[in-house]
Amino acid sequence: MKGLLYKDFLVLRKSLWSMLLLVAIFCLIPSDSRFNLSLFFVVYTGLLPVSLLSFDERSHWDRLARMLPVTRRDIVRSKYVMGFFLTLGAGVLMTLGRTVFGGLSLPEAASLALGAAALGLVFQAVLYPFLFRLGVEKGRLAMGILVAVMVFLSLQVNILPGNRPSVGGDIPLTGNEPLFFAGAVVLVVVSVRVSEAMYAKRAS
Amino acid sequence: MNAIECRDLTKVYDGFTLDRVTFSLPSGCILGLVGENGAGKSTTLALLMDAIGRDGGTVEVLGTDNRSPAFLRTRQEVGVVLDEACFPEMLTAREMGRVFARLYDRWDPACFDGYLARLGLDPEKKCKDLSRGTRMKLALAAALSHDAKLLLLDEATSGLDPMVRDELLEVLRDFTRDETRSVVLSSHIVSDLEKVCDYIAFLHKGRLVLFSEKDRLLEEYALVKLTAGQLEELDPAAVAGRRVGPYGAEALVRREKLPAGFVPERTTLEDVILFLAKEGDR
Repeated sequence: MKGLLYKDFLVLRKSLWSMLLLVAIFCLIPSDSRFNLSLFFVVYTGLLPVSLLSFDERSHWDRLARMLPVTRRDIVRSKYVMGFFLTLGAGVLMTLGRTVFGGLSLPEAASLALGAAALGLVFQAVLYPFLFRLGVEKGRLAMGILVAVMVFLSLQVNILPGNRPSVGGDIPLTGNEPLFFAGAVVLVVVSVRVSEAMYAKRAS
Repeated sequence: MNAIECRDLTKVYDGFTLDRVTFSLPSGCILGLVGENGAGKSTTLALLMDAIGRDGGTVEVLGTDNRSPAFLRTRQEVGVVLDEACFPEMLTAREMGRVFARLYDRWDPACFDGYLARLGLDPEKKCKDLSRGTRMKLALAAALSHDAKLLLLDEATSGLDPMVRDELLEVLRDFTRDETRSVVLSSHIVSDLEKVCDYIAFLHKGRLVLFSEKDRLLEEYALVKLTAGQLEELDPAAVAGRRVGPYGAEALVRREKLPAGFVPERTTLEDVILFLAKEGDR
């Protein structure tokens, strides 16, 4: 799997620099802004691994990968691993950025990042099985629907009565972010199994 | 030991069936897998590597059942070149080398650099900026740089100019100087196969019509020019294929069954394949 991850890292290098830049810019947005940074974070980190699958599909890498000394399970899991670390990496950046430049306390920024990372993982966990079964081209429809649902839910969460006021124009803090994150990780584990089955079906 | 043992290999798609393909390739030999577009060559290669599911049959590659867990280890000893190279467009040859170094235990960077130099490849050029021929050279360099015992090449020479094709074939000849190494080269350019192959397998519409040593094939068959009347009188067992035109006929015949009085001409692999394919369609 090392080789697959390294290949994905090389392919994503440029996108990773843009991600760093964008996170840096968004961290500087004033905290009374109505811009929902976490939503951006969720969608962006969720889209990076999708870009990877899209690059693979364009170069037909997948055809070759199935003949290399890796298992189908490795092929599927490498995308999840990459997605997980991208999400965590962006979370750390967001925490640091919003603490240093955004005027938030470290616990607030960390909780926000954890909540956003949980949403990012949920996004990936729901999307990947579709992409592994249908391919990126056909899976785009599922992705579009998922993004729309995420946006809608995010708006609902922000206006729900009784929620604590959002910090920095972001998703509201509930104090349960670690729990959300743990739940998201469990969902990812289930999603990996489903994707492996979907990919095996597609490869047959 | 046989490099490949393939028994009753079957794959069913909507509108196409690879039908009980059976053959064995001895180690140290080059097998040319020939057939028209859509005959099942790529499917056969993918099935050999268990890259797609099969509907029947058994496959052993380098002595290992390709469905067993041990086959993951065997894959380390198989080099693959597909018709499109399939390398990520944004990566350079050097970066692809680093990727393969993490995939193959016996990756040899010096060997890879040597092939890049020999084949005139710029290690810093991105794959998307390479011509198809250069991409195929790169794929071949990668397949040859991890001490593979078996090379599988799927239409690797198609669409390349004769100079590049000749260069690639020369590399293959060098590779099989070591008798533990074998090659399967699929192509519909029969002249390429005739130059380098020891064995020929002819797939036609999903069926293995022919599997034979190339030299034996060329000894066994001959071309005869004759009249349509003479063709009708020939023993059907002697005729493997026929072509009747307004000015006479031509037949692919089995030399040993050809009656005296006819002058057999030496045939080419291309003729044998074409005649057999047409006879199969009849």
